Amino acid sequence: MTIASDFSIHTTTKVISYIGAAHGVSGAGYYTVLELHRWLQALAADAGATGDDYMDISRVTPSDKQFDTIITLVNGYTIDAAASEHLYSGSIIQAGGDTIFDGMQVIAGAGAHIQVIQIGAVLSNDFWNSVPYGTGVKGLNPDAANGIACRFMLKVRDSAADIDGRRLLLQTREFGYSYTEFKLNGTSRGINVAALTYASDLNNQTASGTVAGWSDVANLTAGYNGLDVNADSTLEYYYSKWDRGSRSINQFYERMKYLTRRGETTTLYGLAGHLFRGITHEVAVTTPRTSTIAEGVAASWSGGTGQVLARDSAGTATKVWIQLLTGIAPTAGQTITVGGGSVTAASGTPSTERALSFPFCGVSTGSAIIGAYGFALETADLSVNDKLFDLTNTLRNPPNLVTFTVSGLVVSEDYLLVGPGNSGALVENQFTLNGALTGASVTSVVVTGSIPADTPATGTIRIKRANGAFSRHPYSAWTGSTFTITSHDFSSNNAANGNNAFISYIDTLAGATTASFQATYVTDRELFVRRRDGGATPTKTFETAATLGVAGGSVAVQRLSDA
Amino acid sequence: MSIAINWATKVINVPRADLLFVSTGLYELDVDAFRLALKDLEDSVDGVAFPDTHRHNTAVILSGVTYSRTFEIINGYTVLFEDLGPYTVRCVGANHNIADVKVVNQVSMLIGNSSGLITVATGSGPSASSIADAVWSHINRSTTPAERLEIANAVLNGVTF
Repeated sequence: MTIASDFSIHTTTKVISYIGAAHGVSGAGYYTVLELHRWLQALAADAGATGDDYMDISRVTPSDKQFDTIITLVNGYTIDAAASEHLYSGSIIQAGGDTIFDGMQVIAGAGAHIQVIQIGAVLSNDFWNSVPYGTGVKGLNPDAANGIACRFMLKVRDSAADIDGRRLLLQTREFGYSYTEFKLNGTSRGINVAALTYASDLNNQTASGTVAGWSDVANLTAGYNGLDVNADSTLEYYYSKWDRGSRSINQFYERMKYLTRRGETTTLYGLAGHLFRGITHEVAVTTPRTSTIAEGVAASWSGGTGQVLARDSAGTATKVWIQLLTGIAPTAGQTITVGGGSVTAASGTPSTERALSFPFCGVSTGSAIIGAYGFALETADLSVNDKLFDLTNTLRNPPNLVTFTVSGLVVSEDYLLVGPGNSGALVENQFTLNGALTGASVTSVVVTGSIPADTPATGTIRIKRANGAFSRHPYSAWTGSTFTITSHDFSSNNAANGNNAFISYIDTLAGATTASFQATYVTDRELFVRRRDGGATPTKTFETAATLGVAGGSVAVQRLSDA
Repeated sequence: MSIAINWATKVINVPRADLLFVSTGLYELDVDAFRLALKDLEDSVDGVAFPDTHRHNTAVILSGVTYSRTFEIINGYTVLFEDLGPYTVRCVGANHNIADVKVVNQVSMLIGNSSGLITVATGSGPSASSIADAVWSHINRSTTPAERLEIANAVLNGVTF
């Protein structure tokens, strides 16, 4: 095929149409804008029109060339949409500048599927992802030798108005591959280059059908919420609180990719997954305000639209975090309408652009996650190597939560006690009571000195009573020197001031073949493990020393018959 | 009331009602049942915080003969039989050391231990002369000179003890 056979020029409308084979079909033709211009100029120099070509020397000049990559169709000549799909490497300006097609050149791995987002929506006619006949690889007009995945033109101006300010967002979101995006804040005439990455993601190798079933991963709080990620007793704020369920942190990462992969329409914060990008702007807001500001809803202002992902208060918000969808972020003093309410962007620097991560959750190292701005999981799902950035963009490191596990237990037979140890013996005087316990409903136990930082958040303690026994007391919290215990009657058989007490890290009749506790690692702690079974099939007492180390610890109990 | 342990004093209380009545003034303690009762206390919520009460070796069969189990109270625990006046406890079912850790009161014991071949220290044990010296020293401490003279005369007169 030749350009002459692939294009026709209408006699009266002067519309240049593509009449060749369709994309992916044998013979489909693609030409540079310069080739089009050369062809038109050649026709214009002909002595007379032939075939379906209206053009000859008697007609007005059809095109003008400023540069090889910028062709202006003049004197009423235009190309139609189909023709624009078969031209590349430059811009076509027509209708006196009222319509512009700009050239796109995507730098990416061969075969990349490119999504183009215009006016906040993915362009459904993604002809540039067609597979040229005989190649088997996606991408029109590729140049593999130069790393070019595809070249094409897109209409960026129509009816004398730029389409969303000629803004385009190009992205790759192929499951199993790296996610990237390239933002064009207003295309230019000629060739606009978008650099993307299309490489296999080694941390995303699970089949999508498998990941599709990981529905136990859920966002517990889709909006502004406080978490104490670094366990310093002070809340930091994030716009999400994900629960990774039974999944590993890398599986969680894969699930996040799945929820935002190409074609995913399940919504996140009110946006289809394949459009969700995370927070792009933090906007300081002030009065006047009306009504309340919701989260996960659309927002608009003069010159732009977005989606509210979080705000620090429904009624008196001072900060709103948005994903910009169209236009530009709010400027000082602009009224931002959110649902039925509105707030006003503060003066000064009301909008702070925030860096995005791809995928929106951040980066997986395989065993840890480096979170995107404002992204968080619940603290129980984090480990020491994870890194999160709160909404102030401050790095927060989770503490080293380690797990100590005792295995080999027999359900409903073994009673297990794990307490503080020293030289292989149970330390009964880990604490001494700072004040006698004599009340009828005691809920607070104060000990001398500080409770160690590696004490589990909840658990049990043992307190020595007047009868010499160490009674067991569940606690729901601790701080400083005080345990908050389940209400207990100490009015008889009380516990005197100075009596011993200790943390029983595990103190239970086995409910499963393993038992464990989780604590923040500070320094190695010696533990004492005792397992007893005096039931119908008695066993000898098992006792051993163990260590809660930087990677936690474990003990497999032995069971020797004592019948 | 049943067998209980005072964790503060480490005293194991054995009610007489828990013993098997044999005849007037004579009761029987099944040492193995006693052991199992202690094990049940050890794996309770209260008991698990405290050291073992005893050490146990089960019965073994050797050349067709069943050698009895052994049971030893350890870690400073003592055994207190309920003091309801004089009565005797006959222990059965195991060789044991209960008599060594029994709280002294009006209750007496028939220990019931039986040994076969035992192992004694050799080489560094007492010599015959040191035993004789020890006996003589004990006699000197526990008798008056007149009593010692009376004993000597009796020996000379052919009286045997």
